[in-house]
This record gives sequence, structure tokens and C-alpha cells, in this order.
Amino acid sequence: MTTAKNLDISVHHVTRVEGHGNIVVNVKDGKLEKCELNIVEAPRFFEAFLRGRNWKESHLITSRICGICSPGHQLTSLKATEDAMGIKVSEQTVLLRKLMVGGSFLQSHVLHVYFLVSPDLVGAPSVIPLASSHPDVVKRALRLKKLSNDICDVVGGRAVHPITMVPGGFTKIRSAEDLKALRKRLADSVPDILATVELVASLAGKLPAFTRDTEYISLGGVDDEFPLYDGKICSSDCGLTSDKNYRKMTNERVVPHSTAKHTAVSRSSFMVGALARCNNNFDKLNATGKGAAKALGYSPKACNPYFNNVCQVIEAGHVVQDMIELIDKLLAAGVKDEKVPEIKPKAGTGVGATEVPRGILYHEYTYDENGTVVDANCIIPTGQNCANIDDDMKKLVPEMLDAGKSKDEITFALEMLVRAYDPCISCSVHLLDVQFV
Amino acid sequence: MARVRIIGVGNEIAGDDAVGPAVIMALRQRDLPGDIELISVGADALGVMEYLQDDCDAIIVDAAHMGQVPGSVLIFPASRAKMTIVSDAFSLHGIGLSYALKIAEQLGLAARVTIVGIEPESIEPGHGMTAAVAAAVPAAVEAVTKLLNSKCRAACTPGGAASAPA
Repeated sequence: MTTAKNLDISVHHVTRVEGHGNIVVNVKDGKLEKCELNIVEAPRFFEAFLRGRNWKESHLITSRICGICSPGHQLTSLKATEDAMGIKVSEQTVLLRKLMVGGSFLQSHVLHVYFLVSPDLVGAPSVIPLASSHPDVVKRALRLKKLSNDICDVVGGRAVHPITMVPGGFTKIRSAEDLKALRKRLADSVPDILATVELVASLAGKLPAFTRDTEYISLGGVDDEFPLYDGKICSSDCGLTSDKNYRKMTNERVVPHSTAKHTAVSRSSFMVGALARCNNNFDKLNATGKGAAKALGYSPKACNPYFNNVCQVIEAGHVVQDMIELIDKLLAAGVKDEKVPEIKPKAGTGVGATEVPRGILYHEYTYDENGTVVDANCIIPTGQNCANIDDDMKKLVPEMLDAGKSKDEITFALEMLVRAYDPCISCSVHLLDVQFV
Repeated sequence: MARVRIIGVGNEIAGDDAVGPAVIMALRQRDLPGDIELISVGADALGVMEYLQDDCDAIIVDAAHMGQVPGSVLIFPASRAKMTIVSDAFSLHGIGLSYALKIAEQLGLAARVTIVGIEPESIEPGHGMTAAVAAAVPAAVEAVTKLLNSKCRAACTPGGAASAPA
């Protein structure tokens, strides 16, 4: 039995998240002295890399911020560059870019829910035991991953760090036949999506029943669609504002315990990501998304951060239907082999804001008259969520102590909480360690 | 002979971890026997699983800590190696090949996987392999070619898989 008087938790490198973060909790004489997520990764200096580089390189460099969200970083970067130079893109370009968004959301959400979250819900340490106990489930996850990779490959020329997206459009447009083949595979994947919803619905009862109301920030203010590629900044506390005001909607500040900056707007913290998007824009989800929400027991506004994972499944359903409709629009309009227009660089400052799987992402660049970057700023979703995770932990730990939970139970709930946010802290090396038997 | 997939794994900006993709690039310059598909999955080891099927042989080329001299090339079936999964290091970025192969094994997809491992000297971030590992690329290419030749012979020789009596 744990006494509620003293508690020390130190989780060195939370597992099943991107990169390295530590959880530190310290309760002394019944008083919560410390409760925080320490981000211990070294700073990345991408903004400094960009200074002095050419406008045609910005999206290629920032793509490398993340191997999972590389399409999202590219799209945000392209929008910032196009905003700075007043470049307009065609309707076909926008539709193809939205298709790219859908593919990257499907990939990220499927992997996160199946490989990183589901082991917690079935009491497994990782996905490996699931591969033998539930091979069909793991195979389904791999099928959906392959499909989403192929979508990004068809649209962007390759799945990770796409190569055909440039300021002003695409360097190569795939044929109508390629898009039709993709449409068929998307339609064929609907049973896999429904099975995913069913699986997570059967496990959703295992998510901790914890709630804490916070400010939810996402894109918003788009009339006819669930905003992922474009829109205004929408706060559940302060309403809509232009993406030009993103600094006021983040207010980055340095804190001692984290190399990731913290952010706050109207409260001490806010949340971005799937839960924020569903809370702010639920009405705009399509039938597949809303159907998933119903099956999963989600209705807005939900204030349980663990429900971020439920909302990822809702969005996975939404984007599959959305991508089918996007391809239908592209085919109906006739796929045109559009060339990228001649662009003469000019001086200016521009902002791009898009949703990426983990939340709203901002890039801002200032170019000189030659199109050289003189200033850059990128604000990543995980950074925006860090303060919110700390605030969740500060409410969760005393509640669990009061309920007489053990140190192990509290530690597990905290690790699950961090994973629920799907934080993306860094990238790593891949190497085999082999012993022969 | 059934199709053979040759899959290079490794992060090209992590020193000797680049050797997997480098061997695939060198193999592209060769005339290889049989029905071959050359694939480089980069650092996405989970991507390897997309190419493993129960009716298809696979050769995986990757840097591997095997306790050998840097640049050593060893060929071994995936089933013969006990691959260490470092802590519970699974993440979307951090998945190692050992993890991917473990999942493949559980799904029954690893039986026809052979690994060509190259012992690295340094996997520190940065472009370029060490001299020892860069010099091992031809040996790894030879190892893959020999494997393919022996598969071809097995398939074409009486008693081999292709001509086995029905």
C-alpha cells in the first residue's frame, strides 16, 4: 500500500513515444512538490539552418524535422512561402495536397493506435505478443499503413519526404488511372477502418476516466469541411482568429525542465491534436467520422485527454471517406498535367498553418528580394502540448493518491497519458544487435 | 525460382548505418540472376514488413552489431539469430529491424528471410561510412550474389524446388 504522504516517480525515457522524455513526480508530506514531463532532447536549430537558404529549399529542409509528419511540414512550409510571395495555387493542387494530408493522417493515426496505444489497453508490454495472439489485427494495421504510404507515394513521389510538392504546385502529376486505382484501394479499406473502430470501441472502456477541461486549439472557421489543410485558428476559449496571429495563440516561453518550449493562451496551458480538432469541429466530420464517433462513445466536448486516441480513430475514418471524395472531385474535373508556374521570388513575410496528426503546426518565413530566408519560426504541436501534459499530471496524481492507487498504477497512468498525446520528440538510429544462438 | 526481394535497411545519415542502402545501390549496377526486386527502406524498419510474404524469399542487408571486426560480413537466417530488442524502444521512428522481424516471426512471415549483416564501426550521426565498412560493400554485394546463385541452382537443378516431382 502506498501512503498518500510520500511518492517519488521517475520514469527515465517514456517508451512508445517519439524520442526521449522523462516523467518526474515528487510528493512530500502529502504535498505535490514536482510533477512534470522533462523533455531531454537536444534543440534541433532548424530555424537557424533555414537562414541564408533559398526559398526553393525551405520545404525540403523543414520536411526533415519529422519522418512521420514530413508531408505536413512540407505543406505548412509551402503555404508559408506562397503566402510570403503572393503565389496562388490551382484548385487541382489544393485537392492533391488535401489528399496528401489524408494519407499522412491515416498513416500516423493507424500506427499510433495499433502499435503504441493498443498494447496498454490489452495489458501487453508491446505489439509483439499481439502479433501471435491477434495476427489478423496486426496484419490489418500493416495493410492500412501500406495503403497510406502508397497514397503519399502516388501524390508526392515517395512516402517519406515527398519530392513532387514545390511552391506553386507539383512537379509531376500522376495519371487518372493511378488515382482510380488508389480510389479502389481506399474503398476496399473501409472494412478495415470499421474493424478498427470496432476494436478500439471494445477497448475504450479501459481508458482512464480522467477529465480536465482545458483550452482546445485547432484550425476552424471553414464552412464546408473538417479543416485540416486550411482555416483560421480556432480556440474553444477565444473563438476564431487569423493564422497571422499565431504568436498570440502560442506565446512560447522557455521553462527550466524542458528543452521544448511551453505555450499558453488564455489559461496556463492548451491542447492541440485529434481531441482538440474533434471538440472544435465535430459538426464538420463526414458520415464515416461521425459514425465512428458514435460507435466509440465520443461526443463533443470531451475533456478526457486519453480520448485523443479515440479521436484519432474517428479521424482515420473521416480521412478515408474524405480521400475517396477528393479523388472523385479530381477525376470529375479531369486530371490535368499542370506545370508549375514560373515564379519570381520577392521579399516578404508569410505564415502557414495546417493540421498535422499531432495538432496545429505553424511555419513563418521572411524572405529578402532574392528569396533568401532571413528569418524563420516553426511551432510544433508537441511543444504546444507539453504544458498541458504537465497540468494533466498535476491533477491526475493527487486524484489517484486520494483514491489510494499504488505507485505502479500511478506510473502506468502517467505513461499512458504521455502516450495519449502521441508526442513526437525526435528521430533515432536503427541498428541490429545480434547474438547467435 | 520464386521472386527474391533484397531489402536494404539503414539511416543514410548515421555513419555506418548507411551500409544497407549503399549495398542496394551497388547491386543496382549488377546483372543479377532470377526474378529480383531491389528495395531500400531507409530507416523505416517497419517498412520491411510490407515486403515479407510467405511465398517470397527475402534477403535483408543491414548494419548489425555481431561482435565481429568492423567491416565483417556474415550471412545468417533470421531464425538463427537472437536479436536483442533494446528496452521497449518501440516508437514510430525508433522501431528497429529486430522489432520488425520479431513481429514478422509471430505472423509467420520470417521463415524465408536471410540476413546479410555488416559489422559497423561507428553509427554516429553524419554522412559517410568509415573506411572499414565502405570497403566491405563489395564483399556484401558478393555475399548477396552468391546467395542468389545458390537459390538459382537449387531452383534449376534436379531435386531443386522448381523441378521437384509433383
